[in-house]
Amino acid sequence: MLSLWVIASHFADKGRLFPTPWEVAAALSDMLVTGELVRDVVASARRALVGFVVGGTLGILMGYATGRNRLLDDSFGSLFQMLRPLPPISLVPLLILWLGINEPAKYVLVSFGVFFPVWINTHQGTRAVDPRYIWMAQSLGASRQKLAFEVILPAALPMIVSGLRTSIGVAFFCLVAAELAGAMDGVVFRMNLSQLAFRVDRLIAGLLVLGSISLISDTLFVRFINVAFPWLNGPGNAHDAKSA
Amino acid sequence: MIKVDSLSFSYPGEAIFDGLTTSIDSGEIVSVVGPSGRGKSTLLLLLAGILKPSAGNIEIDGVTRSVASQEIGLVFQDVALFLWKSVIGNVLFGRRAGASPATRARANSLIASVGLTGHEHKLPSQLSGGMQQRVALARVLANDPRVVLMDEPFGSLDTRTRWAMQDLVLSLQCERNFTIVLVTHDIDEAIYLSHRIFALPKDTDRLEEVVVPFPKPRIREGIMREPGYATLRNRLLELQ
Repeated sequence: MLSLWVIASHFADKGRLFPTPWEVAAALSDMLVTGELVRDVVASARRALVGFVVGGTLGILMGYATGRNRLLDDSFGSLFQMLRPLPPISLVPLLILWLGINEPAKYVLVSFGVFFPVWINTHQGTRAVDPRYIWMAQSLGASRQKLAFEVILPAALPMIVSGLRTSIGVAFFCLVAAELAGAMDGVVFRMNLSQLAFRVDRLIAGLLVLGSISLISDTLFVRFINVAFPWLNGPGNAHDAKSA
Repeated sequence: MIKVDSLSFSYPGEAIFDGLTTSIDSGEIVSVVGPSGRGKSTLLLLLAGILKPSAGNIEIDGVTRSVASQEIGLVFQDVALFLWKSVIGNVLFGRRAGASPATRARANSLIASVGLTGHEHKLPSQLSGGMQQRVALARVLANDPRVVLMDEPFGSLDTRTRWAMQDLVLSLQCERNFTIVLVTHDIDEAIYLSHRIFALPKDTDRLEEVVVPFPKPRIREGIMREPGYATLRNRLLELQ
């Protein structure tokens, strides 16, 4: 892969539009030394994390509510299904008008993108819980709260985890839209500046950093799930976080 | 005592029971046999208070039941345990069991009584099918139920494990004197375990009650040589 990159950069426009790997590494090193890389990574990671936590939490709560309550499903289900296919980027003009280009607008955009995969998976997961689990719990005297937290949500967890994992990628997708719409720091903001300055080496360095953050986030998430919920990887369980 | 009085129940477009009346004594073991789809599991769910009859009622010790109750324990075949809870977590799930030191000690003693000491902190996925059914039994017994309803609990076990589980159920029932209603496809299992067998014949809404005439305790190897065993077995097969 690296060899192909070297060859391609040699023949393509004398490296101007296609810098060599070491030119990209030098740009990365430069960004690291000046401290702007750390600042941008922290800003982008914070936006992705806040959006993921807020959107994920709301997705799980609403998914449980619409999955287990027909009235709430009738009230909100159609609305969510209508909003779900909308690309988050289509919300940018409205969010700028409502919230400006400050941090809350970015959090809302990422949360919006994260919400729907988590909501639909939690909705389907809680709806598909084997009724025998619920009957057993009821016959053992489980309260509504115990039924929700100790039976239905754990039984739906494989689906919820799938939704959360999908939404990690969506969070970074939305982050790109959020930072392109207006920001003063962040990895994508820096890539945008690099494009205007025709610094393709810094642009590619930004792409590599963004991809790396996304990969690290996914790896940390899978490790957390494996430690927190070891039973998810047990034989007979459909979900296998290690191989997913 | 369980009293079923003029019980009717139907799924959309299909009547399952129409005016069913019967009773089961305290401490009695009754098996329910019949072809698939005839309503064996439905009868258990009605007795458990999970399904509501369209007419008639069910009394347990003189009290009409219409909701699930801790006095009635449920054991299923393939969804025996909460996969996300350890053995001790499953046994402590019932509200009565709680988590005080006394109830924890009681849970440990129940786990010991089903022969699983040393496995308390294992997940269900780390146990064999027979061990999972033992935990399911211990979990139900942690609530001191008066009635245990079992829906083909040993259907997926190999013969040797199934026999061991049948003997374990008999010894626990003898010790605690709870009533058992057991749905099974295995006629030999029904005869070995039960005082009476309820057969739900195909294409009728009748319930045939057959008394198992062999005295208890029974010896597995001996019971098949009892005079009348083959006749009883054939009669039950014909009723299915």
